Amino acid sequence: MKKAFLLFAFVLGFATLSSANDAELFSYNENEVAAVMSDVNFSSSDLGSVNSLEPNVLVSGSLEPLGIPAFIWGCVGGIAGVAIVHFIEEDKDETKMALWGCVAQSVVGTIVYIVAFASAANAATSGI
Amino acid sequence: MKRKVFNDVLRSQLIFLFFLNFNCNLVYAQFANAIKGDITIKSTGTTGVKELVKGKFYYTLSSELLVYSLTFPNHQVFVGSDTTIRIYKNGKLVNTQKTPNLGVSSVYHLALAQELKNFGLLKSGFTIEKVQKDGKKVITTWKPPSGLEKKLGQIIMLTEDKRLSGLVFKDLNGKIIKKQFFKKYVFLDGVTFPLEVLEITFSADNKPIYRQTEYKNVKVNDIVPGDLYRYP
Repeated sequence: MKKAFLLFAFVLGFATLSSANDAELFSYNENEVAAVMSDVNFSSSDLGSVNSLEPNVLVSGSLEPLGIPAFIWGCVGGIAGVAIVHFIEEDKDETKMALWGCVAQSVVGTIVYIVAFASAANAATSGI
Repeated sequence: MKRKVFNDVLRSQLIFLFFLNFNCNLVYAQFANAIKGDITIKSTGTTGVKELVKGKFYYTLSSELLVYSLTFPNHQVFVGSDTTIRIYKNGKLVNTQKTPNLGVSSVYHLALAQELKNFGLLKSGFTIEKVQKDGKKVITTWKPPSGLEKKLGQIIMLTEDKRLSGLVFKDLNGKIIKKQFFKKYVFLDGVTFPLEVLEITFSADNKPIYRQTEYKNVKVNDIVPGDLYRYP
């Protein structure tokens, strides 16, 4: 009986201690916060500029649908790739890059076609 | 016979009143779709340089559109929509950045959606690991959803009078990485909103970094047409 009571008292004390520790997690120095956050401290012209409202959250980076550069979208996807970049990113510069990719694809395609056609024609005439 | 008819009529009226009240409550809760007000953010900064931001905020729940129209330190407009934030100066887009969805995780969204009392953790898949009660104070320990136990630490929540009062975020090793406190609650058109939020993070040498956000002139569903909604 005595052992059971001691065990109960120990468990109760431990639970109380755990509870007290968790409550202490929410403690902070209110006087320090009040002093630091006073309007006097923030009226100085030495205030630094704020680059963003969420400095820990905002991540700068290039705009790439699915991580693929806009130029490649235009080069591989053609007009469809340009449309994808335009509607997803809604950024003029990125759309321009995709458009250049499309143009590059057209130029390369034309050159390849001419070369292939010329080769085929040459082969045909030499075979006559 | 008359008594039976009377009971039937009374029962049907009670059922009607119940559903009417239920639907009215739904409408009342769902009617809170937008919130706006003045915002001031003071921060001691990570390098000891004080930072101050002033302006107005606007948030609409249905479109998850978050707008900050700043007047200090300079005139800028931040428009957060989905995973993109656009920055405007003098009405012109100057920068676009990819971010997590700022609107959905904001105190504005949680307040309008009536999820602030559990910080949206229930909807995010967190589960309750332990609950301790001390009078009107309740301390709840939340563990991350399955699959994220190796990425996220515990979140300990303090609620007082059924209102979110404090949050403690821990890393995987149990070290405290951030504390948040929600104070000076007001009740506006069915929305409970804290007018002061204090955030405490810690520098590399374990010194506290304070960031205090104060809200004033907060209004619910007082949508201002025109200017801010020209931004896509």
